[in-house]
Formats: sequence, structure tokens, C-alpha cells
Amino acid sequence: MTVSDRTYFTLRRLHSLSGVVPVGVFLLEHFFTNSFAVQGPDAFNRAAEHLAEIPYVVLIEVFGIGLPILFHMVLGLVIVTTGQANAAKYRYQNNWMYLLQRVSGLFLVAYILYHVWTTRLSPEVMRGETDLFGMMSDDLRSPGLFAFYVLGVIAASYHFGNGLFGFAIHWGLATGRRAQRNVARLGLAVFLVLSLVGINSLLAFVHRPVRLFERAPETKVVEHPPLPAPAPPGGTR
Amino acid sequence: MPRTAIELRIKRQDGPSGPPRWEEFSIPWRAGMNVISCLMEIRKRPVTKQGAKTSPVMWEASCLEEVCGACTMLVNGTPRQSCAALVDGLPEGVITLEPLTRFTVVRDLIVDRSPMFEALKRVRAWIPIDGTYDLGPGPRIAETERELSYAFSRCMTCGCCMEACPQYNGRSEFLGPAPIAQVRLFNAHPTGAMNAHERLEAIMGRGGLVDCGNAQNCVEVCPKEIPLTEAFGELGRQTTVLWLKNLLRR
Repeated sequence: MTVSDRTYFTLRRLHSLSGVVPVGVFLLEHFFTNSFAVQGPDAFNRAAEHLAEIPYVVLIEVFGIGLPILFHMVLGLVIVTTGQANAAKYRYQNNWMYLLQRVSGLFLVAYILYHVWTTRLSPEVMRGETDLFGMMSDDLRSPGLFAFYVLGVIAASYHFGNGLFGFAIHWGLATGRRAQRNVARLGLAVFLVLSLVGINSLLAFVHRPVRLFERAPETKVVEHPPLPAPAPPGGTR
Repeated sequence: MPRTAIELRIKRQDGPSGPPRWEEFSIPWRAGMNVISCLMEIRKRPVTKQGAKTSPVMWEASCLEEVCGACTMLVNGTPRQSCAALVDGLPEGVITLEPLTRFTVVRDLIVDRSPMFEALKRVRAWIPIDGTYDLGPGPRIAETERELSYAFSRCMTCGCCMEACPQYNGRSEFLGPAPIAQVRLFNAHPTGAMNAHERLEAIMGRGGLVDCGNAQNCVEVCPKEIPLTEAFGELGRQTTVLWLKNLLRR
């Protein structure tokens, strides 16, 4: 398939943009929602139900998440074929990052297809009334699948974090050498934080989450005494 | 331990289609030799280390002071100018010489770098001032801008950045770092800026700026330390603005 030069530029820019908005934003939301698993099965299933109640949810899922990911994937696969990685010969940090961006992308194609099928599109889930937490919990008890999911979390975090670096240069946001270096560092920080958050929710599905920055479990919810009746009109003020 | 002899291993090829072969040479060491003077020594007596007569190794060189780029080759696997590769500065052991791999070999160490020239033509890396009358002196350029432009003007199309770029290869139409960075140079010139959009349009198509993968090897291997990746960021900004203008104005 050949496209005009103008279309090619637009497609490449949309590829870069779609990685951040909406796919990147969805990734952040997804990791945030998954983190409810740290609070237990009920909290996670409630969060999932809340998402299902969003108005126009199917439209958002199809046009705001599914199709953009598909577009990013297909064009990404085309882009991968134009490169010839040479990090073994030119061992510079950014060259490794370039290679890992492609490797993580390729892995994510397989991972996302599997993940979306099993947790969203399979007939069982489509019928609704699935205990999503229980399903994930069963899956992740298998060490092989757990490792596959950990790799998926790491790949997605890296691809998004380092993708921000490419995004900033492609769109001309970071032009100076120092600015570009800082964006690369920011990207690596995003990668680390998202990886830890993502892996912690995976641990939560097998009931072994690391609980940090949360209310201590022994904290009791204070029973508020009933509010006093409103003062009669004309009272002291 | 100082060398007494210089051992060289050279990848040779009789013509563009000929199969490559390796030949080894051993020549006496002299003080201050560079790779070019080694090759001149071989030319004087084209006999391999094993004692077999062979043809003189062909190479290309012009300025011999690292400003023309003609003698660029892989010295111990690294793309660089062989005139500036001093033997005493290289690690002990055999010195390996190969032609650049991203260009067609003409013969031995000589490659055809004309794709870079064609790319410079495609991106219109010049300032059109020819006419029928004297246009008078051009506008003055601020010192800070001149300093930055000077950095880009040092590009000698040697091909090191093209050699190291993972996006410049037979599978891709990418024009390569060096020609694209020249757009940054000519667009910054006050007279050249009048045709800025033409150069930007030329790098907005297939093989243009968007095919850069930000591996940033180019800036690492550039012998002239040209801030190539800063040019790509700046040109990213310029093409973004032009793209939006085109979207909204037509």
C-alpha cells in the first residue's frame, strides 16, 4: 500500500500522538483501576463496575481505546520493518532505548491481543457477570502466565515512558540536547513508577500486594454520631 | 611496548558487484603514521603479509586534515576519517580497515557517497540568490545564531552518521541525518528562510524527518560534533507548525 507524502506525514504524526492520547492516557487509567485490586476483590470489582457504568462506554471503548491501539499497532509493525537495529555495534544508551522500544512494541502486540481476548472479548466475559478479580486470580496463579503478565506490564510501561521521549522530539517540544536528555529521564521515571504500580496490582490478584501509602488496616472507620438537630430559628448566633 | 611493524587487515573488493575478500599486510612502523600513510606504504609495495603479490589497495582522500570527508571508512569497525586516525592512537594489534557498509562499494575502500548529494538536492540545501541583478548585501545575522549555524555548516557529508543510523538502510527510504540537518542550517539563514517551507515540505514526505527513530547514534559518531539531534527537534517543531498551518488553511 502506498500513500502520498502528505498522508504519510499525517499518519506518522497520528501514530506518535495516539501513543500518548488516547492510548497512553488509557494505560494510566488502566493501571490506576487495576490498583484497586490492592484493596481487595470487592474494591476491584466495584471499580470495574463503575467503569462499565460510564455513559457511551462501548463507543469510548471502540473509538477511544480499541481502534487507536489497533492503528498504533499496525503502523508500528510497519515502522519496525524499516529499522536495522545495531546496538551490539554502537553501544550508546539511546541506541539501546531505540531497540527496546521496538522489542517492547512487538511483545505488546502479542500480549495485548491475548489480554484483550481473555479479559474483554471472550464470550464468557461478553455475557457479563464474570467475577473479574476471581478470573485474574485464577490465571495469575499459573507461574508462566504470571511471568507473561509481568513482562506485559514492564513492556507497556517502558514503551509508554520511552515513547514520551520520541514524542517530545518528533513534535518539536524538546529541541535542545539538555531538554531531550531530561525528557528521556522523565520517560525512564514514568517507566519505573508504572512498572512498580503494575506489578503490585498483579501481586494483589494473587493476594500478595505490597501495601504502601495506605491507611493502616487497623484504622477504624469512625462512627459519626448523628448530627444534632438544627438550632431552632432565632437561636443564639 | 611501541610497535615495530604495523599489521593491517583490509576488506577488499574489485568492483561494485565483486565479492569481498580479506587481505593482510605488514608494514614497517614510522613515527607519526596515520591510516592513509599506511595505505601509501602498501601502494609502494603491494605484497601481502603472506608474501603474495597483489594489486595496490584503493582508497579516496583529499584534504588530509579531516574537513573533506572523502577518506571515511571503518577503522577497527568505527566509521571515521582515516587521515585523522593516527596509528599510535589506535589500540595495539591488527588494524582492520573496511569500506562503509551503507554505501555501494566502488572499489576496495572507496564507496559511492552520491546518495547523500542526491538527498541534499532533494531537501534543497542551498539558498537561491541567482538573478539578473545584484540583490545587494544580505541581512545581518545575530552572533548566537551565527555560532549555531557554523556548527551545522561544518558538515562534510562524510557519511559517518549515515553509517551508524539504524534507520538508514536498504529497507528504508530515510534520507539520513546529514542531509536533513542541513535544512536546519539553511532555514535559519535570514535569506534562506524565505524558502523554508520548500525545504520542510521536502522532509515531510516518505524518507523524511518522521523516519528518524531517535536512536541518536548520529550525534555520537559525528566527527565534527554537529548537534544533529537538536536539528531534528527544531525541525520537528518547524514541520509541526507547517503541518498545522496546512491543515487549517486549505
